[in-house]
Parts: sequence; C-alpha cells; structure tokens
Amino acid sequence: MNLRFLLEPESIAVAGASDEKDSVGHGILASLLKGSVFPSKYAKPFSGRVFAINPHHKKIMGLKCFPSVLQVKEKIDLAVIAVPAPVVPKVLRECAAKKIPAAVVISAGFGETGNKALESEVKQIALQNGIALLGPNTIGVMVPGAFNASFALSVPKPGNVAFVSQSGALADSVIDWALEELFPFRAIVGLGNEAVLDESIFIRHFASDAKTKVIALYLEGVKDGQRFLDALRFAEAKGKSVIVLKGGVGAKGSKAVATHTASLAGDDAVFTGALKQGGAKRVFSLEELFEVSKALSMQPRAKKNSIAIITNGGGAGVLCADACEKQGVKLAELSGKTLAKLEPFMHKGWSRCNPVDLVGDALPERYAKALDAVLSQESVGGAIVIQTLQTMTKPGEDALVVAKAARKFGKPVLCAFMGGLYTRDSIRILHEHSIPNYPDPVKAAKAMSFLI
Amino acid sequence: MLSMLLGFEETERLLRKHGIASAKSHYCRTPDEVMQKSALLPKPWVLKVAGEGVFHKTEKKLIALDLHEFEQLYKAARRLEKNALEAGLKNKKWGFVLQSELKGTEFIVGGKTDAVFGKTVLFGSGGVTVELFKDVSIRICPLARKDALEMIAETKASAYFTSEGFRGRKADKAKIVELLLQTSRLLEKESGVESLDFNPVIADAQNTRVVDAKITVEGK
Repeated sequence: MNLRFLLEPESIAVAGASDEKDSVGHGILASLLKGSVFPSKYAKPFSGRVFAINPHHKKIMGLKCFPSVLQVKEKIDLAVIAVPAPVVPKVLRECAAKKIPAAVVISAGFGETGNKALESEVKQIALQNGIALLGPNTIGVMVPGAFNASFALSVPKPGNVAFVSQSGALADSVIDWALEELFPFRAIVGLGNEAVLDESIFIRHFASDAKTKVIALYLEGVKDGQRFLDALRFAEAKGKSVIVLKGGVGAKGSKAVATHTASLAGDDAVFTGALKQGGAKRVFSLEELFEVSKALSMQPRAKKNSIAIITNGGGAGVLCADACEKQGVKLAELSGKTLAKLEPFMHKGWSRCNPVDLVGDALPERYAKALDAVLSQESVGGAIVIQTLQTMTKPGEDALVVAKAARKFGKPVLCAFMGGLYTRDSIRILHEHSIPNYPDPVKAAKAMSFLI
Repeated sequence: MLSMLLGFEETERLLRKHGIASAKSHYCRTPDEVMQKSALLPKPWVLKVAGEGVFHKTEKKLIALDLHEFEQLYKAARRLEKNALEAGLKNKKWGFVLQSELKGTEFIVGGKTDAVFGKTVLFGSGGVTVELFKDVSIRICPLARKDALEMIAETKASAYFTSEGFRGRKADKAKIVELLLQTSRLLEKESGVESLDFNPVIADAQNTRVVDAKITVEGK
C-alpha cells in the first residue's frame, strides 16, 4: 500500500471540521490552516487546498463548508476524519465514492473500547477501496514543514527523524520537548489502532525516503512478527538507523512451561532477538530514544571505534571514559605527532593521554587547538567534548569552536556542556549547528556507542 | 492445547533425521537390561529416566552421574526406578537411558514457537543453571549463519569459542553454528514441534554432542 497520499497530500478534507474551539475537529482544521494551534516558528500553513466538511455548517474559520466530500468538485488526496465513531463508516464510504486514496481516522471508540465490529467494518471499507487508512483512534500525522493533520499542540523543526508511535499522547508530549531542544523530525505518526496501516509499512516507507535518516519507534506490541522483521531488514539494507522503545515488557503471568527454552524465551527476550536480527537498536526510556536519535540524526557515523575525549574538567573526563568502556566505545590512543601538537598549549605535567584534560582555565582557543590536533589524527574516529563551567569559561564561543571543528573533519562530535542557567545559550548554539549536547558525559558516551 | 513430550525413540529419530550429533544412548526397560547394555559403552556412565511426563530430572532425582562400577550402576538403576515410581510415572511409559559420561563444556540449544514471531532458536550457557544465569541469546527462524555467529558472540559462553578458550576449555564454534542451523531447520520442517531443549549440549575442541534432548509437540 502506497503512503504517498497520506504523507505528501496536495489537498486535504477535514470531515468533522468544527467551530467549537475545544473540539478535535477545530484543532485539526486550525493546524492545517495555520500550521499549529500553539505558535511555533516551524509551523507552516498547509500549502495545498483544505476542505472543511460538516453537514451542519455553511462556513468554518472563513472556509466554505461542504455537507460531504461528495460535494467537493476538486480532487482530494487525504481525508482526515474526526466525526463520532458510529458515523465513520458512512463518511469513509463517501471518501471511497470520491476516490480519496488516503484517510486518517482520528475518531476513538473502536477496538480500544471493545467495539471490534465497528473497527472491522472500517477496515473492510478501506481495504476494498484501496484507502491507505491511518488509525482509528490516532492523534494523526504531521510532516514538519509540509502539513500538520493532527491535534498535537505544535510542530517541531523539520529534520530527518521519523517518529512512529503506538501512543499518540507520547508523540504529543515529545513535540513540546522537541521545540525546546530544537529536535528535528521528518514526520510524526500516531499509529492508533492500526486497523490497516501498521508499524511495518511505515518502517518500509521511511526506509525508502531519502529525507529520513533515523526511524524512531515506540511500540507496545507487534501483530505480525515476520513482517516486522522483514521491514527492519529492509531498513537496515537501506542504511537507516531504527531505534525501538518497547512498552509493556513485563512478564505476563508466567505459565508452567515444559522446556527451559520456553521459559527463557519469553516475549521480551524474543523481541530483543528479533531487533538484533533486523539490525535495529533497542532503548529503554523515552529520553534515551531521543538522545540516541539526536546523535544519529545530527552526526555522521564514526568510521573507527576510536574516540577522543576533550574536557576542561578531570572528573567529568573520568566519568565519560568509564562510561565509554562500559558501552563498548574504545578510547583512541593519541599518536606522538598529536601529542607534539598538543604540547605547546597544555599545562606542564598533563597526562599526555586520552581523555585530554585542558584544565579549568581553558579558553576557546585551547579547545580549538586541541580539537584540531586530535581530530586530524586519522585513527581518531570522533570526539566527545566536555565543558564544565568556571569563571573564565566562555560557553558560547566554545560551542562555535566545536561546531567549526565538527564541520571541518566530518567526524562525529558529541558534547557534554554541563550545567543549566548559564549553559543554556551555548547548548542552543550547539543544537543550531547540529551538535548534540548531553547534560551528563555518561549520556554522551551512551549516544556515541550508537555511532560506532 | 496441551503439549506432549516426545518419547525416547521418536526424539532420537528426529535428531538423526536432521543430522544432529547426539551422545550414544541405550534405552533400557529394566535394571537388568541396563546391566546388559553397559557392556556396550565405556565407563563412567550416566543413567537417567526418560519417557512421557519426565520433566525436572535433577529435582526429582531421576538422573545418576559419575557411575564407574557395575555395582554402582545397578544400585543407581534400582534407586532411579524407585524415584520414578515416587514421582508418579506409570509403568511401561518410561525407561532408562544409559550413556557414557562426556567431558566438556555444557551449552544449551533450544527452540520455541513464539506467538508473534513464530519459530525461534536459543543458544547459551547450559546445564542445570540455565534459568539461574540466563546467559542466552535468541533469534527468529530461519537462522542465517551470521545470526548463529552473532548469537554465540552475545553470550558469555562465547569465551569458550575463542582461540585461547576459557580456563583450559575450548569448544568448536563451527560445530555449534552447524547445530544451531540444524535446529532451525528441524523447527521449520517439523511444524508440530512446539519447543525443544538440547540441554546439555556437551562440547570440547573436537566434538559437540546433544546429551539430553527434550522435544514437545502440539497435543490434540
């Protein structure tokens, strides 16, 4: 099934468009017309035609309102349906008659509330008419920079991470955070009940999408394991990173089993094996999902597992080195040539090894020279740059220095600019230059392990 | 749906059919038969109870190890017979399996039908502590050679497959890979097989043999 009309529509109809400010139908129409309900500098009005559909209104938000999609003369690519659940089949049949190729059913009240018959009716209509149907019971879909057919509060920066979630509310909360962090998304998809379109078809779609680099998934369950595994393998072959956060991993009432294998190979253990087989990586919290995605999205992969740590604080460097070892990130051995380059501006008696401790009084120039010396060593695959705040530290300039070095060498550089109030601006500069920052060097080490 | 444990002969037949190397075993009905067959196998021996409904051999004392003398073997057979009856095993539905005790490192190779992913294969550190240490790795069937190699690499048991081995013990990686691939094929071809345990699989630098096989099939 082709997702083109769902993810790249040229015209969209909103069935259940509404004037009532707090209704879902209103939120979706506003999101399409303005870009988002809560202001965001990345929110853009949908550039194609938008049609409001509601038999009880003549006009909504200045738009002419049609009683049904059948009265619209122009072609419609995507129907967003936010009408009461019992009316959904009727509206969907009208969409079929109008030959609309894609639909998002926002409405709830289907399988999730036990109304399986209604859901199967919707599924049948979609399948018989070849409608790429997302949902029901979904927050919707958004492609930042293109359109927002969801009732999510706002729109994040456009980027290369496709986030596909079995929980809509999770997707929603991620957006607000992403705005703060300048975290970029290619698309955000709430899968809802997956009556027709499931995670596997989206994995395949984004795997083939040139603008996607990372596919981040929040999953609670997979219906067809082999199909899912095939989709993961397809994404791996296409060179995409797939990161999976799985909810609902607790062992369900373990029944007595005849073999050791049956007891050892529980649902979660099998899922873990399948991810490994499909080349996908597993994470265990939402924070980790995005910390890792951030690194994969913003930075290149390291050509060598040989990382340098540059720090202005000894303790932070030690913590980072420990975490690297635990995560399988190897610390680069610095060559004689590199050490000779470092020598002139380092403190006397410095350790002459990696982590490179620039000491607390390091100014941006020392960071710049150290980065240059270390990253120009061919066998160094990338760097983690740590900054602790001292009276003489210049966080903003340090951030620019790091960004410049990362650009020059094309090797992955991750930062751990540690701090809060007085570090915030420099972190923003880093993120604006696509250098991921982590508040803790241990987290930077973990993120680096996904780049090697 | 109940699962049924395959009997000794049927289990052996499946292993042979799929080319899986197992420890030479003799099935005996009585302690006297155990004594007769013992002449066919070098000592020390291992004697265990096998048959329908025989689970948890260690807990139920249905296995005797390290038997060097005929007298020891006979006593063990009588003791196991008594324990089997106490464990509620019905007459005629069980028997003794006599083997020579093999030296080497214990691994587990297993299989299970998962509700979402279908047939799966498991590899890990074997023996009686499998469920304690859970040093295992799982993949979905069909297994590729690459999958088998990754499974081994993921476990702590991988130390035995390095060139230096672990504390003087080594196992043959190619043979375990072969066993994993054979197990994957068995699970795929024998659609009725629900789960299986090859535990222990005993391996050294030369040989890799399934010493104890338990196969369950879907009941009617």
